[in-house]
Amino acid sequence: MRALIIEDNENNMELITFILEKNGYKTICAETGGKGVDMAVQLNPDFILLDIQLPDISGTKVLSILKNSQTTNKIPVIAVTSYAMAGDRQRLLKAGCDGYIEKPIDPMQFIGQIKKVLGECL
Amino acid sequence: MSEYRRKKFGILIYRMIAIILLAVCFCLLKSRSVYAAGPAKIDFPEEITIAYNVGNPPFKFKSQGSADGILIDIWRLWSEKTGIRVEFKEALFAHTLEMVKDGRADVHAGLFYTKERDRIFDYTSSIIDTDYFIYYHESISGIGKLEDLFPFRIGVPQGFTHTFIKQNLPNAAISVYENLPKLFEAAVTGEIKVLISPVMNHDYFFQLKNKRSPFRYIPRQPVYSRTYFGAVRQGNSDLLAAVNQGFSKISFDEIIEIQRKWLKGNKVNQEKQSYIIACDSNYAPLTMINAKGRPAGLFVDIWKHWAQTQDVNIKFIFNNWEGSIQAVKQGLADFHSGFENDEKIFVSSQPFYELSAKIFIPFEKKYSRITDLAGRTIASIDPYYARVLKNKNPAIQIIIAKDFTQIFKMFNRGKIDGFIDDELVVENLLFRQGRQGEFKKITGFSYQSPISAVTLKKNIHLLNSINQGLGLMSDQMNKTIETKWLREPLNGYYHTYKTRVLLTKKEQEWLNSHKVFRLGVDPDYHPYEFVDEQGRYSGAASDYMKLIEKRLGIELNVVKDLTWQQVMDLSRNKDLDVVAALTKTPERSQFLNFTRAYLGYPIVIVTQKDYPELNGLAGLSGKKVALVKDYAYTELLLARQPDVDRIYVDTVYQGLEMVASGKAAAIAGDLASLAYQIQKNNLINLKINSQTALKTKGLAIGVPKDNSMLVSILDKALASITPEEHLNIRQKWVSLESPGSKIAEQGEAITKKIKLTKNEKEFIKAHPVIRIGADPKFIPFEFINEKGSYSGIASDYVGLLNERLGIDMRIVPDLSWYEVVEKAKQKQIDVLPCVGVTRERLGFLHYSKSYARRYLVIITRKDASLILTMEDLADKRLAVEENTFQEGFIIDNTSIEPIRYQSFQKALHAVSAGKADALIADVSTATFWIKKLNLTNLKVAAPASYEAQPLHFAVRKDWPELVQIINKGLASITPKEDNKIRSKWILVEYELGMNPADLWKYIGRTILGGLVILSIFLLWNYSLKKEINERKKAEKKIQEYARELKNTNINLESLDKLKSMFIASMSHELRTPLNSIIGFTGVILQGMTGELNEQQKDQLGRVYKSAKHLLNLISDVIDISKVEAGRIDVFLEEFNLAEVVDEAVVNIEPQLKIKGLDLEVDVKPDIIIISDRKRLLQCLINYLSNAVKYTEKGSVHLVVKEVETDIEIWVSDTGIGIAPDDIPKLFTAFERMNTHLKIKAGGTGLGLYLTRKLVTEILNGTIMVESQLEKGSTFGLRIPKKLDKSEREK
Repeated sequence: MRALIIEDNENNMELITFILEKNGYKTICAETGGKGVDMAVQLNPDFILLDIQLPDISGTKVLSILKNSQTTNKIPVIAVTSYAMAGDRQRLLKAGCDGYIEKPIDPMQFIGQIKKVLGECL
Repeated sequence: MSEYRRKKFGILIYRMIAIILLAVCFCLLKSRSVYAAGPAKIDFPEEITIAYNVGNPPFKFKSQGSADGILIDIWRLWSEKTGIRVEFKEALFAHTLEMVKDGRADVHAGLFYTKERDRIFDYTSSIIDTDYFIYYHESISGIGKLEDLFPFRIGVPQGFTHTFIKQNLPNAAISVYENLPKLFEAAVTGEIKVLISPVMNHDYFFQLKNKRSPFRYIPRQPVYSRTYFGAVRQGNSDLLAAVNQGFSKISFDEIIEIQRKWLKGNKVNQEKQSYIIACDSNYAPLTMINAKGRPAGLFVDIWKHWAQTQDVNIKFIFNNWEGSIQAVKQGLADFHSGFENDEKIFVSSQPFYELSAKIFIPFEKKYSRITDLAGRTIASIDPYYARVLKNKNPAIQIIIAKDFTQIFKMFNRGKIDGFIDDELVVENLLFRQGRQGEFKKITGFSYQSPISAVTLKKNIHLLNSINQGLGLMSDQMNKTIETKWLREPLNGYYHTYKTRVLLTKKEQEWLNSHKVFRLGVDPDYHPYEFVDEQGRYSGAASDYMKLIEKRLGIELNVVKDLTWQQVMDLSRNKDLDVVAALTKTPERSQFLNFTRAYLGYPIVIVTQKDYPELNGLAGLSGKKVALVKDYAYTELLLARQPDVDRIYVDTVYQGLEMVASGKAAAIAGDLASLAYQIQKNNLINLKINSQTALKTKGLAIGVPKDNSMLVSILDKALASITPEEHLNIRQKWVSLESPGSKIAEQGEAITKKIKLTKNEKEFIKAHPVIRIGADPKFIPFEFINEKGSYSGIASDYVGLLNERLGIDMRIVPDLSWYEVVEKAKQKQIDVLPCVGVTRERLGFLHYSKSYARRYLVIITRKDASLILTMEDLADKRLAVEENTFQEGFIIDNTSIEPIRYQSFQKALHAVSAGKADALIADVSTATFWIKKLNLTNLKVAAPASYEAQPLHFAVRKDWPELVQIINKGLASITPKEDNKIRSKWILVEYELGMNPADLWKYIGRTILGGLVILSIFLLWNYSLKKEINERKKAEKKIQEYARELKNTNINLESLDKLKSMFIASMSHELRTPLNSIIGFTGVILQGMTGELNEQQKDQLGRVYKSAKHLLNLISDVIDISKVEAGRIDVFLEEFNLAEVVDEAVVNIEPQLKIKGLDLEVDVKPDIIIISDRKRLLQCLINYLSNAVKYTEKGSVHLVVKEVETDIEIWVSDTGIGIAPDDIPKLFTAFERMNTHLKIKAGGTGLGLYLTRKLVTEILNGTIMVESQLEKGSTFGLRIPKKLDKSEREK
């Protein structure tokens, strides 16, 4: 399984890749939304972990690009965000997001949460 | 105001004076006894030597080579009185004693009594007292008593103080200094933080050094008090007698004078007169010593500003209440900072403040009226208030208390039920002590006292200066001071006094027992006073009577059905108390006293409309003039202008009729009556032709003789009526046209020179033609007449400015208003001469001062529903002319999106045709065009704003110079010219063809009852020039305030925005780093990076838990602030309740497992509700985690019940439970129950608070709790199954 992680915070990136790799996933990293979209199109990952507050284009925008493109709209996208304002969950799910994990991530549950979403997508 | 107040203490000086007095008496006795006993007369020496010690300024010290100081001054005076020369010898203190002992000196200047010294010396009578106080460094707090000094090294001067402290604080660390100045020097370097000194020495030291002292003292509590005595060698009885005899000749006042000299520091600054003002040191916010040791407070500031107006120095001295008054009595202080004086030995300045006493009782008491106090005990510090209260309700028990400390002690012991004192001071005190919630005030009781500066009768000359200075202080200044000191300045005296009547105490007392008066009125004296068809007393005078009733809290009851003659007869017999409105005449003065005249009008001349202008009384020469018989002014007029052809008439109306029918050429009369009759009888062929220099004497209030008290009270009430109120009443009752005349007086105008700067002159040179753009149809302000020339009020201003400034403002022809504005934006037009300010326009225009104002009204169809204010237009289709001020007005002031029309006429047609519901327009323009276009189905429905909208010249943004130039030009235009311009354009027949009389009639008819607008509309009443000016000023101020308020609002709004932005970014910025902390510690703890030993696991576990806790705290704080800011958005979702419950349970499962508790969940799997899922989840987690947190064994039980359209969720546990007393505290922020579990259980203290907020404010539900100590608690919430957003907002 290959995960594309779109995340601008270095620490979070390190943490997420660490946990994923420890659990046998391969990871691709993008620190901007633009790069993320490019990589998603070119590398066709198995799923995408998407931060919402990104420096260039917002995660919501990335999501809508991915979900509106023929080549990427099948890839499950899980929002991983501390943008935990009320209504985000609903808004993101509506925008086509397949799952939603609120930061701070819990290392003990993180993999379980991902598996649950992916399971639902199958 | 409390007369005798508080606490024992003192800058001793005051008290010692009493002692000196006694001492002087004692000396007198003593010396007499010497005479009686002594066989021979005393052998007086010619010269004596006095030893004094250095270093004790200002009592004794050396200044510039010669001895100086208070004691030295007293000895010099002694020398004068006795004729015995004195020589001063200076030495260190120990040496001075030696000197007297061994005869090198005859007398010691002053020392304290001790037993040892008494063996060596004979003491003279006492000279002066001094108090020693604790001084502590400002960085130290909590010093109150001597014992509090124990932890510090205490600085003392050698001698008695040292001994005293050693005795009273045996084990304290003491630093002894040779003398006080050395002590202070050490204190300044920080060597010691606390010391003992008299106030005067301390002040003097720092004054000389010109330094601010960092030391504070406690005025209430001197450490001890000592008396200086002179001393001679033991047995030297002749000298002793001589000394004492000399002292007996020194008067009390002389000693005081010497002290005053030193108090004022005259030695330092002699060029100015200076005064000493006595204050209570503990009378915040009025007078106090502040934390910096300086005099402070509202009264202190008042006197500081007063001193500036008089160019004098002032010095404040502080004592307790009684002491401060004593200081004035003794003459040590020149006057007192302020109280209500009822002592005969004092005289008072004009009152400068007012305080009201209230009765305070514990908040939880069920009663609240003064009658409920019967049989209860009330404490008063002030005996004066005690008397007041006793008079009010003799059944109240009254105890005199020493101070507030004692009062609160008595409360604690249940000895008293309440206390009375100055509201301002008590509230301030309670507020400072944080106990404002503990007391409430007795309703319906308030005792007002006027506060004055108070001085001795002999200082009566001082009152002139005080009164004069107080009179010079501006309102603005007083308000500023008040704003600085009061917590609610808007309720303060200076913010409200204009509408108060300041009565003397006698007057107030009299008024308290006289509340109802019989009022005599003229039933038919339009428009001044009359009884209307419904039998109600009405007219201008009636409005004044209503104001007076309100101001004085009295009732003026009209005695019904009297003719004017009966009113006169009854008042002659004193069967009436007050006659509302009549002119003072010698005849009436025989049985009536009169107040000031409050309502007067100029005498004007009315002729037919086409009659040539008469130019005043002289114009009546030889003409047939109707004069009303027996009217006071008729005589006056005839005296001035005897050669008129008189036709006497009985009433004004009769006279007007004669003029209207041509039987008389003119009638002279008072403006109000004439205008009223012309309007009432629709005499449209008449006009007010000319004014005269005559004025009616004015109407006054009459009071039958021998009741002079009432006259002066009514006079004061009248004096309290503001110019605005006067103007409002006059405008309400007198609507009139001003005489139409040319602007004329050009000659006078041209002579007015306008000073322009070089820059401005150059600007004018560089711009020979200035293009102006005008609204072609903005009648009467500006318009293009039939001949195509620029007309209207603004056109006259343009003409005047052109002439005076030597500029050439020229109209750009053939443009619609829309085009004018567009061109102005592109700088193709330079000036718009007549526009209002809107936010949009400020972007491209600079504004001059305003020179005219107009009133906006709402126009609707006649059949439209009732519209009273702008708010009523909220859901209406509102038409407006595009690019106009009105458009900006709507946008700036409402949220209505108006329908825009390219011209005003189109907008009017639209309303008329039903395409729009209402229109905002200028009143005069609108009425004109309605008539002109014959849109008979329209009416003026209501004012759009009660404020006048000012009109300005507006100049393109890049020409600021021109604004200055125009402002200068406008400033040169006199009020007279202003009035002329207005009257010209209001009264001329518009060239477009409308008769102004018709316009008036139309306005009268359309604005039915809308007299307010009408009267405002008639502003150009030349007779009210003065009031208008004042009103303008007032309005300007109001506008300033409004602007300030607006700015504040804008600031607040942006602050609010800032706050929510802050919250949003908080949630991200704080969580992101926590994310890493929690994530990585979690990873390490899990062992993903390798095996940890037990200690590492434990410690890292703590990091992990703390971070989690911090995260919860942050989340809660953010949520709470969002709820509180109303910024939380509610997201309604349809969801399965069981799922949410499951999710909540998952959250707490780990803790549940750790504690080994059982969990029972009882919820039907198919309950679908519509609510905010996330918030409900949050609440459930809170309840559940609380249950787990406070339960050590047993189980947690969650039950969901459906109750009608609601659901109830109950979470119960078998934990420690909550004491009944603690239950109310449960849902407040940061409250956690006092339990051993507190620390162990953790938690933010915000959980239940947030839960309550979420349930009640977001989910529209209620919360419930039941608990039994040690048995467990049950928390519940009940929310609607279907949350309706709109319902929630209610």
